[in-house]
Amino acid sequence: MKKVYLALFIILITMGCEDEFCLDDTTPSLIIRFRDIDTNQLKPIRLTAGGVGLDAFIENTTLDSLAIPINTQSNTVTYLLSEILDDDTESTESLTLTYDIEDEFVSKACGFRSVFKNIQISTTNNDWLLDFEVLTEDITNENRAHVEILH
Amino acid sequence: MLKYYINTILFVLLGVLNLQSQTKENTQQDSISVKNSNYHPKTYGLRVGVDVLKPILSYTLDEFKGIEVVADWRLKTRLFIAGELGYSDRTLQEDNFNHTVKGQYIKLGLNYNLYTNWLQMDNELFLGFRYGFSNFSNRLNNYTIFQEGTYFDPREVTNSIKFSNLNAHWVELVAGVKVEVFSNLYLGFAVNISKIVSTKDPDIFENTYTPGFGKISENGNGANINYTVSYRIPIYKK
Repeated sequence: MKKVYLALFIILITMGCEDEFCLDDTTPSLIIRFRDIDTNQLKPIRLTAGGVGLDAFIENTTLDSLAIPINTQSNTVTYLLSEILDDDTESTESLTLTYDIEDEFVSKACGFRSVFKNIQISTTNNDWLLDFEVLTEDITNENRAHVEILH
Repeated sequence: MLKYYINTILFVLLGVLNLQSQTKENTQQDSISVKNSNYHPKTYGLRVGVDVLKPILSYTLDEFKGIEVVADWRLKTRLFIAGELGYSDRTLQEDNFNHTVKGQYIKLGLNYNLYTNWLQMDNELFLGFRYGFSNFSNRLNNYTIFQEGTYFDPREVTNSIKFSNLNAHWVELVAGVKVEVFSNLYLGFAVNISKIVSTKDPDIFENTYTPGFGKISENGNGANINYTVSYRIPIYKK
C-alpha cells in the first residue's frame, strides 16, 4: 500500500519539473575577421561599428574579430565601420550585406530562428579597408568567420 | 447516505495502515469464490463517466475547450479494461510562437486494483497502463524570430499556416483511486505519466502538444491528472 502512495507522490512531483531552456543555436550574427593585407595575419583594429542610422553596436574597441547582428526584417543591411586613429579622428568605411532569409524551427523553448543564404558583400574602398574576402555562401552558424577584411 | 460517507472516511484511513497480510488472506479466499461466506460478490457492468476538470477549464479559460469520456469494464474481481475518449482544442502561447492544436484522442488499457475491499465495498486503488492515439491539426498562428539581443528588432511573422492530419501514439502508466460514494456512483482521481511512441510532425516545426497527452517535453514525456465522476450500469454480480 505504502509503495503505491510513494509512486503517486513521485509522479506528482515529476509533473512539476517541466522547465525547458533555450540552449540551442540562435539566429547567427555576421562574423568579420580583420587581417593584414600583406602578411595575412590577424591584425587588430580600433573600431566603432554599427548599422546605418542606429546607435553604435561597439564603440572605440580594439579587436581582430567582430560578431555583429544581421537585420531579420530585411534582405540587406549596411554597417558603418569607423577606424579610430591615434589622434582620435575617425575614418569610416561601409559594408553592405545582402541575403535570402530562411526561417527554421529550433525547439519548443527557442522557437524559430533565421538563417541567411546566398550572401553577397560589397564595401567602400576609401581609406583603410583595402580588400575583403567572403568565406561562405550561407550564414547558418557562428562557428567560423564569414568574411575577412584586409587592411 | 451516512453509511457511504463513513465508507469514504474508512477507505482513506485504511490506506494509511498496512494491509499486506490481509491482502494475502483475501486473495486466497477469492479463488474459492461462492462457497466461502467471507467473499462478497462484486458488481459487473459497464462503468461510464466524464472528466469534470475539462468542462470547468473549458468554461473558465478562453484558450481551451475539451471533453473526456471515461469507461471501464470489470473483467475479474481486480482486473478492469479501461479507456478514455476525448476531444480538445487548445491554443498555446510558447515563448516565441503561438499555435492552436485541435483534435480527438482515444486511450485503451487495463487497470489493476491493489486495494482489498471489505464487505460489500467496491473502491479501487489502481495501477494501470494505456495505449493512446490522437489525430489532430496544428495551426501555427504567429512567431517571432529568436535572436540574441535587440540591436535590430526581430521579425514577426503573422500569417498563419495550418497543418492537418497529424497524429501521435503514446503509452501511459496510470495510478489512481475510485471511491463509491453512492450506490454505483464513483468519484475518481488519477495521475499518469506518459511517453510518446511516435508522432507525425508538421512540415516546418514539431508537435509540442497533442490532445490526450498534453504538453510534450523535449524527451517525449508528459503527465496528466484527471478527476472523474462515473456511474456503473450493473449487469450481474459474481
